[in-house]
Amino acid sequence: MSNSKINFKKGQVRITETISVLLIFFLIIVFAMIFYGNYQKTILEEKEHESFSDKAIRITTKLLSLPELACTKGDSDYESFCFDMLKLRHVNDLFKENLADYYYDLFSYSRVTVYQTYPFIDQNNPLSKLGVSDEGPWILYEKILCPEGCEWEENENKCIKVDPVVKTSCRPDKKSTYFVVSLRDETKGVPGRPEFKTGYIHVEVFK
Amino acid sequence: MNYNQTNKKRRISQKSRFDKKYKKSGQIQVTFNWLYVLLAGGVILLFFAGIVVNQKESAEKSLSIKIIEDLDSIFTGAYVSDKTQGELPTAGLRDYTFTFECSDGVTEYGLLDQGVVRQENLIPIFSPREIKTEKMYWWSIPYKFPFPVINLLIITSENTKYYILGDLSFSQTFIDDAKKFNLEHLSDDQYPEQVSPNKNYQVRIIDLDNKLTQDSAVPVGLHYMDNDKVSLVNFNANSEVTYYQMTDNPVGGKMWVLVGQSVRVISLGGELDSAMYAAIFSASPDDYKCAMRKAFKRMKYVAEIYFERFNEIKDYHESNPNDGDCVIKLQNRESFFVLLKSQAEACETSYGSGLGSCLELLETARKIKEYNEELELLSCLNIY
Repeated sequence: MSNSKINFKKGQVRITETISVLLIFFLIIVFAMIFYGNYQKTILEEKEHESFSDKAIRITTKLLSLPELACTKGDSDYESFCFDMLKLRHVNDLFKENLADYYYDLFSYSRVTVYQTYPFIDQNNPLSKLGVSDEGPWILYEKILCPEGCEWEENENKCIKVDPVVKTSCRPDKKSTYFVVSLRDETKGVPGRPEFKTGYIHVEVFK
Repeated sequence: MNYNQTNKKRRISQKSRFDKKYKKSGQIQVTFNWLYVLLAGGVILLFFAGIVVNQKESAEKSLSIKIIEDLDSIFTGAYVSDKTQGELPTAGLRDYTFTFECSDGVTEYGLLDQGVVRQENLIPIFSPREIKTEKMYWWSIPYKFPFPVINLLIITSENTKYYILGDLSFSQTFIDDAKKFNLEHLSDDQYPEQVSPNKNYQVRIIDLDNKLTQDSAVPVGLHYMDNDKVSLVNFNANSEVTYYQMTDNPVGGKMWVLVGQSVRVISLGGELDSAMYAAIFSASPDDYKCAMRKAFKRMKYVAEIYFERFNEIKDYHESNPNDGDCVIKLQNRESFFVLLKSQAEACETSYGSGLGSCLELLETARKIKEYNEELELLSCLNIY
């Protein structure tokens, strides 16, 4: 084989070698970017989950010092972690009527329910089941966010899949927090000493 | 010349032609090689430089967003815990300027020139327009009118200096309440000589006795500061607050210029007068009015719930035969709450516009307060 042919072949091999090195190099870069992208996605999902938990706690914190619910003592400070029953019984109507104007910005998509734990509830009381007894539970605020493809059915009181043929329920994605409160009722008990019950608030935040 | 010599010559000449050819080829090859390396290397370097620049911008933006989100959490937490003060170390952000501005019922706060802002339409926030500091302070005070309506959130910084003139009693109470804030009371003898910027970012003079006006001289010590960093807040006997800004005097030196119009502070006074304190820290009359309107908006809903509470109290006393005095006292008083609600609604839009409807709101609140005290004397259930 002549020298020029040999050199020509050497040159070809060298160029192919260089191109292969570059190809592998860029392949590694692409893999690194895919890996980084997936890592960022995981970080974002974690952050979203944290933010979601944080939202439930913030709503609970706001509720505990809400003037529409807090127990007042004249010009003194609020009683901590106390809900005034004389207000609590009417707060649902207030929130409902002014949802779009004000309270949605405060509570967003969530449900706030107050339960009485002590004195113990009479489970046989039919009024309790209807939700109209004075032993609760009291739904103070409710605005449900149903998952995609579902909508809130008022009559069924749950999310139903949008399907003309079969109605199946959907489970909304939510996070719950609980907090113990006392429930003060000045129209019960003896004069000068209002009745205090124990209960808890259940805050459900919807994604 | 014999054959061998000729051949030798021919071989030498062939070799030199061959060498020349290869030398040229080698030169071209090496040059091309280096060019190729430089080009490829340059492209790769540019690629990575592009990624680095992109990531840097993304990281800065991400940091700005995180700062504002954290501020949002802190403000929400601060706001719900009434009568509390706190500090927020911002040493790592000393090069950033925080901005606060309220308009059309919405407070926008964020980092200057970072393009990141947060909007807050519920919490009334009172603060200087710009804060650049290593330590921010916040203070949440309940606005009682006469029952608690909403918490007012005051934000300032360690390098915002407040000089208080006049009314020693109020001044002392204010300094005691504000605790860590950068406040100093000056007597008539001490003003204006002791007024100096020191290392403060901005200075505000608070005149409680309405002695300083637009024609008053600006303390010489403040002349070297930027005009927008020096301000004066003046309270008169009618609880009206007026804001002034330092500006250049056409004949030399500095002078005060009026900012907007005077605003009436709607407050029942007493201990921890939140509306008045808020006026002291507010950047301008427009910011003050904008934030207070949020309070009036909330007031109309709180008034409604207290109306329901009033009805429950009335039903309770009417069902008790021994509560005749209370029943009489509770007759025909629903109008208080209906009025409070409608007046708060009017104030929500007209406050500070000079139409005077908020003075009626003040009167209604006073009546509810007196009425509540009368109920307490009769041992009836209180309104609040």
